[in-house]
Amino acid sequence: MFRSVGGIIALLLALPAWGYQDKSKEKPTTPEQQYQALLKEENDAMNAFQEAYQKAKTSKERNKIIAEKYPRPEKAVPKFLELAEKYPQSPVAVDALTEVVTRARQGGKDSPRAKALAILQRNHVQSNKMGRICQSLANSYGKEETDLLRSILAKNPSKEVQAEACLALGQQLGQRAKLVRLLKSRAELMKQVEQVFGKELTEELQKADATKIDAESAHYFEEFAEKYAVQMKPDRIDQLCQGLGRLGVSGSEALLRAFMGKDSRREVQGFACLALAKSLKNRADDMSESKEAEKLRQESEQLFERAITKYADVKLSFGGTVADQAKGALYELRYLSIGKVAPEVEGEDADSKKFKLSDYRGKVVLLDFWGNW
Amino acid sequence: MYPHERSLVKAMENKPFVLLGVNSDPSKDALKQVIAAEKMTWRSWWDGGSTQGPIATKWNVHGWPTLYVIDHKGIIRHKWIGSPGDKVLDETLNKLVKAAEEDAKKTAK
Repeated sequence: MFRSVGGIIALLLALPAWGYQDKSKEKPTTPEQQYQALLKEENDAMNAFQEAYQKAKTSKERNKIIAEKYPRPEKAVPKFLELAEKYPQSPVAVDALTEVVTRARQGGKDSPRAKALAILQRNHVQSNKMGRICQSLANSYGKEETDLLRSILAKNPSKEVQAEACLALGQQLGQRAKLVRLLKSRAELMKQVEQVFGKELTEELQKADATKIDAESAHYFEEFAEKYAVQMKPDRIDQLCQGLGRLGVSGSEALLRAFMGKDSRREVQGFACLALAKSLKNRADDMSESKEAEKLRQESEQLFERAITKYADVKLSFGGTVADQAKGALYELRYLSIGKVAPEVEGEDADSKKFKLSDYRGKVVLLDFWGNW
Repeated sequence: MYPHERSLVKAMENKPFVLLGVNSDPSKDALKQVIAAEKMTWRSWWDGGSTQGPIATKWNVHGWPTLYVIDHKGIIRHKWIGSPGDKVLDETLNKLVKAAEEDAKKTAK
């Protein structure tokens, strides 16, 4: 559990604060044009940053470029919010507010993010453009986000948008429950979480009941499986399954089981089989060693084997096939789990001198997979 | 990550601990340059020039950095994708190094 959230926190904290600068330029006319111009400005800045970053040689140079050139997503928030507040009823407001929500950190009641959520809640829950923001809301932890998703699910006329909202609710609540558990089991993370998500949300999470939230999450995954799963296109299911495999929450596993057992599309069965195996493995890795963890690993192993025998050739959108991913994961499960004897590492260093991991038996080894890019 | 690794290696100098890297940089020369520029005192395997090198592939690594902690008996005790933070890392390693030292004392007797 710590791995994923800790990684995100580390990443967010690594980036230095950066103020918003207003560059008053001649503005394009229609709201849509203004929105496109803002997007372009951001993309250009990101491209310039990436180019400079790739040219840098040392970590010192890289840090300097991050500090000076990295266009922090948050920096553009006021511009997008301003545009949306100028045209709160227009469809462009949905696009601009989607940017705000995707870019802005969690904050208090007066934060840009809270303002954006409020405008969306008031004016746009029925918009056919709300599908995109659901995926962004899925990756959040607050109650306001849950409320907005619930409104979209209840009031949006489009079945496709409803499907995204229902799914996002399952994911968001599942993720929230995970963070609640993490805070309970590792109190020392409080400060880090507070820095990233703010005091209000952190306090709210501390009081929350993870079991209850998990049950709610499972409910939405079930609703999705019953009402919406069949209409969803395979490439979206592929993407979804990869996310759920990484997320590793028990509520989503019912949906994956439904895809595997009830969906007639072979590739969908393959995506789900692989994702379910990963989800079980991730849950086991998050637990302390126990019989339950062992049981999860056993089922995970069987599912990886099944993925290899039945769905080996099914192609995945992020590259490779089901078999490629399942084979690597199966090896990790069997030989690289906590408690196993580390496999040998053999090779050459920068001076072409051979050495191996077992040379260091008797010492504690920190094995660091790294690259200077 | 490098500054903390440097101080970690320094602090553990005379203890049963070693930091070993598996490096995915494009060439041995590129690796040599980083080692010099960052004053790295620890060894790294050069993993064939890409993130899909033989060691990373065998160890099913898909995120960088990935860290494994292996105890003095060769048993995998922890793994993290992304650093768990300096504090957790130090505490984990200190505990295991202590256990290694105690075991070494026992066998000496």
